[in-house]
Amino acid sequence: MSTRFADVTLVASNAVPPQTANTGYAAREAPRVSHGIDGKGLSFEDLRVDPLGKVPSEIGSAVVPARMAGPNSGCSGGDRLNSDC
Amino acid sequence: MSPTLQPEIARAVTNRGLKLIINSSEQCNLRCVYCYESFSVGHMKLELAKGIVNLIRKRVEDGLEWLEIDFFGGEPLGAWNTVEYLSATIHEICQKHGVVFIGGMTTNATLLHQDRFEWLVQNGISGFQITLDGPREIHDVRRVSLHKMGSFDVIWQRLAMIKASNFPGVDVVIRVHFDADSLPVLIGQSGFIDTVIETFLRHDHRFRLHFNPIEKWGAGSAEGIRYFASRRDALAAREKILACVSRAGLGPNQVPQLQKGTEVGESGHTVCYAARANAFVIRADGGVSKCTIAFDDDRNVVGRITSEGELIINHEVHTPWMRGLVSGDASALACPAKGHIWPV
Repeated sequence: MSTRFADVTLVASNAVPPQTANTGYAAREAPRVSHGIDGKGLSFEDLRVDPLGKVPSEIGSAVVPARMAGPNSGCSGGDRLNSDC
Repeated sequence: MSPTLQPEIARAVTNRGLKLIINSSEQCNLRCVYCYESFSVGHMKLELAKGIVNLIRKRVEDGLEWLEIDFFGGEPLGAWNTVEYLSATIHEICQKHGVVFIGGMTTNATLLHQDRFEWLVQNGISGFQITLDGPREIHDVRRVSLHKMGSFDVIWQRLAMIKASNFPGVDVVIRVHFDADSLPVLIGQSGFIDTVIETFLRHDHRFRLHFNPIEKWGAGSAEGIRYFASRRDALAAREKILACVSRAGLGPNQVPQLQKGTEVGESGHTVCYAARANAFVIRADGGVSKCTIAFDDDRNVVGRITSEGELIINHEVHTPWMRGLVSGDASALACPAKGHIWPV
């Protein structure tokens, strides 16, 4: 299955490495991206979430994110310091 | 749009993943002098926690593949019963349905007793962000209890307790706050950062470091804080710290801020959770927000969650947070509050 996203096509994947399941550690595999389809970007309508917090149609990637730093207590405003907040 | 942003954006819009930052309590047992929170909301009620579980259950039944849960506050462990109920229930649901569960907590650690720590890790909450403000003499005048007692010793003990544990999957970010006064003490010969590295990080990749300058975040008195005169000064100070860390032999795997010139997204906050379509902050009173800083701003109240587990979203308020996903603008993705709530 492939779905339009911005100016790329993201190829959906069900691959979650079994060793990462429920361990708290996530795959560091990059999303599989194939470039170029219709050049059309996202609209706000594409992002209008329903009562379950879902966007109207699948437009992203299935790849699990790596663990990120926790929420910010005292964020400096994103890239104000040229990097993570 | 930078091609390197595309994977990060893809993760931010997919229905296959969901991130919930849960403020189990918006009370706190500390009163850090620079804290921006008002503590006007108390602990999360059980009915609301059940609403969160209902939402997750519905999403899991709908094919959710990965779930990120971050407890935040206030001090999240101030509402231990809520944390315990949510963690156990969500962990069980994810295990039963094969959903990848990435659980974490931003905590001052003072209430992170060993039995709680072990229980949390066993129930999927294995990431901890814990902050130090420097050595005891500095930390204890900034991170004080309601009764003005310092918190350094107990936090250090909690970190030592985690260090002594044998859980391989634990991931601890030691966040170090600094200002113009504390900088020399941090990086001087045998400085505080060297002590932290040798005590916790050396040969132990469960621990990472993150450095943040103290800024004028909001409501606190900021007594005793000497702010940097400019962003440039703060950035230069952090570079000195990172140079110190680098000399000590640490790399980007333990200090992600050392990554330079690498692909966007590796630092983890290239697309802030506040900019994502699939990430929400659930406030202790049931409000739904995007940013974990601007809690007192109405523009950061994008909706509420019901006890049935439905998100009632005000789309007019929600969409400005996601403008970076539409425009591809890196700044709006990294911090959507900037240019929306805060000046650019």
